[in-house]
Amino acid sequence: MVSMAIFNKISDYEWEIPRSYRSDMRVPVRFFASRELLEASLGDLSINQAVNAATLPGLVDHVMVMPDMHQGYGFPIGGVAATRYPEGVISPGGIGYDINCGVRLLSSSISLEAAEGHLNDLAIALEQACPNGVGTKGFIKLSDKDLDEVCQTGSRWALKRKYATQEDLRRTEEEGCITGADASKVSARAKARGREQLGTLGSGNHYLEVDVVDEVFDVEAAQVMGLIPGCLVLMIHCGSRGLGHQVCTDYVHELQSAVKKYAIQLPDRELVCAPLTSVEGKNYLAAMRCAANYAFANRQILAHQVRGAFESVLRAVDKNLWLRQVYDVAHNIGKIETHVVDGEKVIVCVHRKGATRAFGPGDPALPEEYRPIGQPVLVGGSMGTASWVLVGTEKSMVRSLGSTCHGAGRVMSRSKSKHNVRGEQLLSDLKKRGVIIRAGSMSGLAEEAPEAYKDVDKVVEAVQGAGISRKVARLKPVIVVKG
Amino acid sequence: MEICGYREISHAADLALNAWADSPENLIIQAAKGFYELAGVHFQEGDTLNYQFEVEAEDLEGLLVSFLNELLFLLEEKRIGFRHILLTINNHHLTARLIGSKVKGEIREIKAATYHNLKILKLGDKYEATIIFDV
Repeated sequence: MVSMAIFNKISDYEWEIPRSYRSDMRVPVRFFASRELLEASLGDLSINQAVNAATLPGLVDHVMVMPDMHQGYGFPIGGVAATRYPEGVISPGGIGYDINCGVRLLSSSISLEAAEGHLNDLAIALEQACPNGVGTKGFIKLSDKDLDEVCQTGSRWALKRKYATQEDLRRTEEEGCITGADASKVSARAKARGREQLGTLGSGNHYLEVDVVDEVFDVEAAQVMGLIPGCLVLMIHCGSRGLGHQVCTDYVHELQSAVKKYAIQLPDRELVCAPLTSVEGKNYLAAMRCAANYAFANRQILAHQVRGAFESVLRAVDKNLWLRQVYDVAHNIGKIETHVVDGEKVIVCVHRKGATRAFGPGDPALPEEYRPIGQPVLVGGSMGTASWVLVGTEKSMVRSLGSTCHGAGRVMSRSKSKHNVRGEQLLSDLKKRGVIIRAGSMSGLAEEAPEAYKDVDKVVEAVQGAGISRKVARLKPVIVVKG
Repeated sequence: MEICGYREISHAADLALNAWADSPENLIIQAAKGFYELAGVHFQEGDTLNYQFEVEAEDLEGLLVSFLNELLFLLEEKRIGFRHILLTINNHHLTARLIGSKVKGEIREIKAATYHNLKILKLGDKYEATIIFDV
């Protein structure tokens, strides 16, 4: 167990563990958190895991940790680490099993008031339109050729099949397709797991959520994004399904021998890595990009299905109904990006595990309409609590490798949550608070109870306090379809 | 405490399983039983099926992780699970002979068995390990 004594306070929302803390650290670790959130993290292994991540070869700047941090495996959830390209390494454990798990937000101009009498029907229509839960299959049957194309072109495949609009792609990180994906580097086993899962939500903490725009903090940015106070929006949280899980499993296994081959010493085997220029590193990068593209396409198909569900229920309320994409962001990903570190422009491989890209205003990677305001950042809540829309800032580019938080962050184990909370009671309590829940499993619902998570508002206060993101709008849940 | 067994232990976000046994083979079998329990697998009654597979890894920990990930793949993709498992370990090679059945369903999707802090400890006559599963 670590104590607060190991941290140097930089500001009220920034803390540092110096490189001298442990002899195998290659860079310091920087935490973005209030004292309260940081103290809350002392009880699990997240701080140690961040220090372990700081031992990876080729790291630049700091390992960064976001205020929604919690214990993961290998890296902490909420961790960001950048290795110099091409000399550094890439670590599958620094990206996670659910490659490109992420969030998509769609906006509407339908007010909650106008939709009020239709919300139960909407919840049922959403649940039926989007296969969810353990072991479910999608409605799309992919041929070998199609699956390879999904892996290599992501949302572009969906556009070709009329599941997407040009604007959807423009308003997706990497425009929904990371180049350099090579489907021949994805195992037959991973493809088998992914073949029938495109357009499925999955289970665990994945969800669809209809929210109302509860409060706007930045009127100009909200207007650009189409966020209207009192109107409905829809959030999709899911990833690359079995295909991504298997890609990570395959390469964590394969890289166990690579670390010996390249004489890399690591404090935890889940941090296994390979040089970016090695055969093993290149193969993983190409396969990981396939899984990331699969996830972009997956959320795109779900968005298409969600639009259908909204139209079937609410077309009578608004004949011009259209759910417009606000943005889609990855929060488990490895990307080759250029950042300024110690005054020098460097190309790096940024690992984000439970952290969101948060590029500031003017960045050419952003769609033109978002360049004046910065990249939209979508922060998921925990059913009963708020979700948030933020934007990246100039400071995020300087202090956090263009990264910020991704959600609330767990504080309670699943078994404890299930012990403390009954699914049926939670369902009833949330209903009283005006939240309709559709969940396949009451025990699964209990595991994901709001009490199992940190206060997302405090997480958002911390990233705003640190200056690495700025509040745009607070969203309040109305319907949650749990995977 | 029984000679062989397993129990779920607390983990903030994922699932952690502590298993112990009198041999490496039995330890891996206990971990498999724990895996099916954590996933909440419901086996179909009736027809049984025999299955065999092999895995290779750098060491015992690698065999444990690879074996569990093989079971996970067979559960998700082939919808089969196993209640009787016989293992033979020869250096970096594990041969599994299994009797199982089709699976009706499971309550929880486990993404993978991980290597996080994984060490198979030999304490006297007992082998013990704690495996973290990503969910």
